[in-house]
Amino acid sequence: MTSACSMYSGFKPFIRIILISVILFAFSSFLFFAKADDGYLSAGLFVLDTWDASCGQIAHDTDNWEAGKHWSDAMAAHCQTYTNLNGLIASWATDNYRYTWGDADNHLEAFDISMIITHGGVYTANGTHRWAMLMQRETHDDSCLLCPGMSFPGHDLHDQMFLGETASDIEILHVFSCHSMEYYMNMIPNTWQYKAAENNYRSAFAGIHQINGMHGVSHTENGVNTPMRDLGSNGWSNSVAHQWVFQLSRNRGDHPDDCAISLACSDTSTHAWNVINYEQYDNRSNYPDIADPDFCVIIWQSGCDPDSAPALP
Amino acid sequence: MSAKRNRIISFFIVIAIFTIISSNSFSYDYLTPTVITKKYTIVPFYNSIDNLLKDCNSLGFDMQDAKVEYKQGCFVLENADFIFSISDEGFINYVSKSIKWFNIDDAKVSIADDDIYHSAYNILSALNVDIDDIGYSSVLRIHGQAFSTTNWEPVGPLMTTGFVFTAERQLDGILAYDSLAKIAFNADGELIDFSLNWPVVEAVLSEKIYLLPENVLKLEATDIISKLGDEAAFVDGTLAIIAIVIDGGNSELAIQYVYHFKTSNESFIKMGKLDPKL
Repeated sequence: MTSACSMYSGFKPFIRIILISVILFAFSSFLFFAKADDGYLSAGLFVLDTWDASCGQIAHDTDNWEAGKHWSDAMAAHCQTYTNLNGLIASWATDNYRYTWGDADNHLEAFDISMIITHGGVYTANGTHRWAMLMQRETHDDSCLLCPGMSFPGHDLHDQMFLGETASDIEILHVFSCHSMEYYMNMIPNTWQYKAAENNYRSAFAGIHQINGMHGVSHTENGVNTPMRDLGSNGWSNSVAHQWVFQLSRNRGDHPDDCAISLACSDTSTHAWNVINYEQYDNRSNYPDIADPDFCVIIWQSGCDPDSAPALP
Repeated sequence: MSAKRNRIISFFIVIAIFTIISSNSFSYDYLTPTVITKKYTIVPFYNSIDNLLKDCNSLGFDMQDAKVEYKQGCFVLENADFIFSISDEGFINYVSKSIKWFNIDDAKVSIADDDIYHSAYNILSALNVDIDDIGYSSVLRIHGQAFSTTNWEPVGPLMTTGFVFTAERQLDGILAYDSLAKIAFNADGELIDFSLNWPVVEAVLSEKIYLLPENVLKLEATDIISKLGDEAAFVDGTLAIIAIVIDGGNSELAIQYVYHFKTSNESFIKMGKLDPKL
């Protein structure tokens, strides 16, 4: 009897713990899938840590995760953060404006500020070059690659990103991935901002203020944790665009450099420059959400000379 | 007399044999892996408010109305003008809250690179960085350009928003890639930002660390290349540089082998950490 009673009295708290866990999980899930127009500031981290063997190779990049965690831990001192280890699938980054199965509004775009860390490369079709990033395979999109920009009939990449067009309203996107902001071969407009009249493609800028990426090959293994942490700390007091370029670029002398580039777009070049020079994580509301902007500004460290891409001018 | 002559001849024979042996051993050394005879360790860093205040004083920062707190593994000093912090690992981070970035026509920049070097070296000296330890330094401009989204043609001139000074450390002439100083200035040369990871190190002992033979290096290189997939086709790999790497997180010393790969259409360098062979 004693033992049964003990079992019962031990079981009751266990049930309570389970119930509390379920409630907390449901609440956190609600927060995760809630859109960010509910009054609180939020930041999301999406790291591709391991991926399908059918996407070329199996890998486990703890370096990527460590780098991202340093940023999100620093952000956590200022806002609600969500971290998604191994959380990068096509639907999470694809807008449902582009494809019905796209669910970016509840994932990548559900936050005011998001960071993607994954592998990336140059994808060439019909003589045009643009950036594509690696992700986990999904049934409704058989490709392991996602491309924000132009699409070509007969090719397996689509123009999948349309950033900031809804109340979810992502305003700053960091993309730490090789070639994600490639200066040459017209890759920045081909990837993020292509709107030549004859093609009628929409800009990926649909209200987002700035996107930050890498020219050439970038490294996570060589001391990027501290710069990521400092970006997450300093971006609340200083220009995010400049913090990205300052923290994530590294001039290594006779070794290949890491070359960060920030891109901001707006209705006028003056407004785009204002985003570059003054927008912080906490003052984003000072800058308008411009869909299909007419002007963009990029900044970079001159002479930065990375792997697998020419030196910046 | 004959005995004396024999002694002289014997002396020269000994000298000749010694010379031959020496020359053989030199050839042997040339064929065998390089030897490094010095190791460094990081002197443990003990974080404290005193360190923070001392560095602020050295830099001449006005600490009026500043508050100090310990959060997320850092002592942080903050006021209306700046945030200055030192982490438990000894990493220093400063960012200005009052000095702003701005863009001006690159052709009209009046600040010279030498001005930036001068300011940067003053900051490093105030933080007790031995300038003689700097093995590589550079000043790069931060450039900016506006574009029309209709045709991606430049709008307005090339702009400059500021400068970035970078310094890498060298120990005995070998770059220690995990020691780094970066300092950012706006286009007027005003300090905006710096980060410093420059641990105190000391040479502790002489020890022979034999590097891997070239054939083993090539096997390692091939393995690295195979992991790169389609990124590059391995044509040739040679040991280009030997670098001492200070791992601040673990306070350990490792040897970093740097491979210089040549592919069919380009030349690039990859780094891979291997266990030193003692």
